[in-house]
This record gives sequence, structure tokens and C-alpha cells, in this order.
Amino acid sequence: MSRDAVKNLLAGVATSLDQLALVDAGGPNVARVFPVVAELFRAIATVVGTHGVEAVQKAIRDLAKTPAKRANLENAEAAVASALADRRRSRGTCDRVAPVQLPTVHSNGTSPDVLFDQVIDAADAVRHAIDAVDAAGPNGRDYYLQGGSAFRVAAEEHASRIHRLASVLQELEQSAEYLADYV
Amino acid sequence: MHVRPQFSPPAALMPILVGIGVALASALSSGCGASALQTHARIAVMLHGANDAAVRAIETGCEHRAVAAARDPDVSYDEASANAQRVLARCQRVVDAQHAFSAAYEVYVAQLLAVVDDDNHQPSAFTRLRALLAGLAPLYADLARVAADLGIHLPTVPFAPVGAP
Repeated sequence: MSRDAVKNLLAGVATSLDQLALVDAGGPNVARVFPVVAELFRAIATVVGTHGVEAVQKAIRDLAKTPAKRANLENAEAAVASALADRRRSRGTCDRVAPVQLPTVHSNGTSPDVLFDQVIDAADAVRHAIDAVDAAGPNGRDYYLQGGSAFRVAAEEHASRIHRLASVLQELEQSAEYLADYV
Repeated sequence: MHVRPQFSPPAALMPILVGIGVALASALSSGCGASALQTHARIAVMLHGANDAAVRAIETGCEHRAVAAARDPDVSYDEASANAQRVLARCQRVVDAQHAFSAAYEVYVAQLLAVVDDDNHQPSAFTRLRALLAGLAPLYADLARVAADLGIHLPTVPFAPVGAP
């Protein structure tokens, strides 16, 4: 196979892969990968088509200037922490909350309206607290200098804080549902 | 925990990808008057792109799997959290293998640059280049294996012509 034929073949393949990515032939994740593969084969086609020694030397110097990428899991860890926090915030998870001790509503006790309002106000405050704590979640850029699992630990601790607050919220919501029958 | 395989090329693409490997093997092993330096330049470019594609596949695939485990509605919060951490721990093995490959690749490119900067092109320099290249193939194979264990399929790199003199 001649040099030009190989070059044309590879460039054609690169274009085909671009088009496949455009139509998203293999789903959204495949679409993210194929443009990279297309770029790879386009680069190979360029070098295959190179005749001059100087051009080859330039290609090598360009490669040497570009550090090889290193994979990291910071985005994945942050996404997991966020997914776990969302899960705790949302109602209707399959986690069961232990029943709380509910008050007895009677004529000599606190009025049910007051009890209900107190619980609703407390629940609103905890919801705001969850939002505030969530906004203070860790970011990988603030931990990577420590290396190791520093960011993962911080993300787990963050998810745990949300988890505990969400547990308080669910207890208050149990009380509110009970008291709602009296108001 | 159910993890859906990803990044397998669609069946319709496989003939194309196999064809690419064959075309590269022909181009690199046929000689065609190409200098050894040019052959190494082609391989280096190919490996650089393969490394980039691998990084993207690993990061995206791991994120998808770990988040899917964290959101699994069929298990409790604690179980989902533990499953997600297990996925991340397995991903870390893939990341470690990728770092090993990219570090070895950089040594190879550094040696290639040394050959370019040395006008005399000592034969021993090419011997060292071939040795470095031969060491890259098993590292990529190891990376592809641990990634495949997690259901992440990396681009096939036609290393066959690398062993050719």
C-alpha cells in the first residue's frame, strides 16, 4: 500500500469517526471518545504523509513538548459525593427512618397549631442548613496537593454531613405528618 | 450491583477498527524506504493519541459507573455508598496502570527526542528505542486488561509492527 493511499485511508476513517460521533451511533459516552480517536488517526495520517526529515523531527519535538495525559478520579469522586447528597436530600428514598416519639395532643397540652408550626419552622431551617452545607462541599482543586485519598475522604465526610442533616429532616417530617391531622 | 458495559465499539464499527489495525501494520512494517526515525515518530503519535483516548475513556467510564452505583435505587444509602467506593477503588487500579503506561511512554519520547537532537544517530540509540517500545506493549496490555475487568474497553493499539526490526 502506497504512502498516499494509507494517508487517504486514515484521513477518511477519521472523517467517518467524526460523522459517527455526530450521529451518536453508540450513545452519548461513545460520542465523547470517537472524536479523540478521529484526531489520533488524523495525526497519524499527517505523519504517514510526511516525507521530509525536518518535518519528522518537528513532529517528535512537538510530541516531547506535550506531556502524556494522566487519568484522575477527582471528577468521579465529586460526582459520587453529589449523587449521594442528592439521594439523601430527596424524599422517597428506600432508606427507612426509625419512628420518632410523637407528642400526645390533648386539651391541657401545647396546642396542635403551635406544635405543628414549630416543627414546620424547624424543618425549613434544616432544609436551609442542608443547602448551605451542600454549597460548602469539597472541590478536588483544594485537595490534590495533599495527594493520596485526601479528596475522597473529604467527599465522604461531606456526604456524611448531608446524610445526618437529612436524617434530622426526616424525623421532623414524621412529626409534621402526625400533627397535620390535628390542625 | 449491575454495571452496564460501556465503550465497546458498536458492532458496525468493528470492521473499520480492524481495518485500521491492518492498514497500520502494512504501513509500518513494509518499510517503503521510511527511516527508522520516521517509523518511531508514527508509532509515538499513535501511542500519544491512544493514551489520550484511554484517559478519557477511564475518567468518563469510572464516573458513570460510580455514580450509577451511588444512585442505585434498589439498595440502601449505606450500601450504595459502599458500592460506589468499591467502584472507585477498582478504578484507581486502572488509573495506576494508565500512569505506569504514560510514564513509560514519556521516557520513550524523551529517548526519541535525544535521537533527533543527536545528528550522528548512534545505532545504540535505536536499540534503546526499540527496547523502550517493547516495554510499552505489555504495559498497555495490562492497562487494557484492568480497564476491561471494569467493563471499560480501550482503543486497540496495533503493537504488532513494534517488534519488527
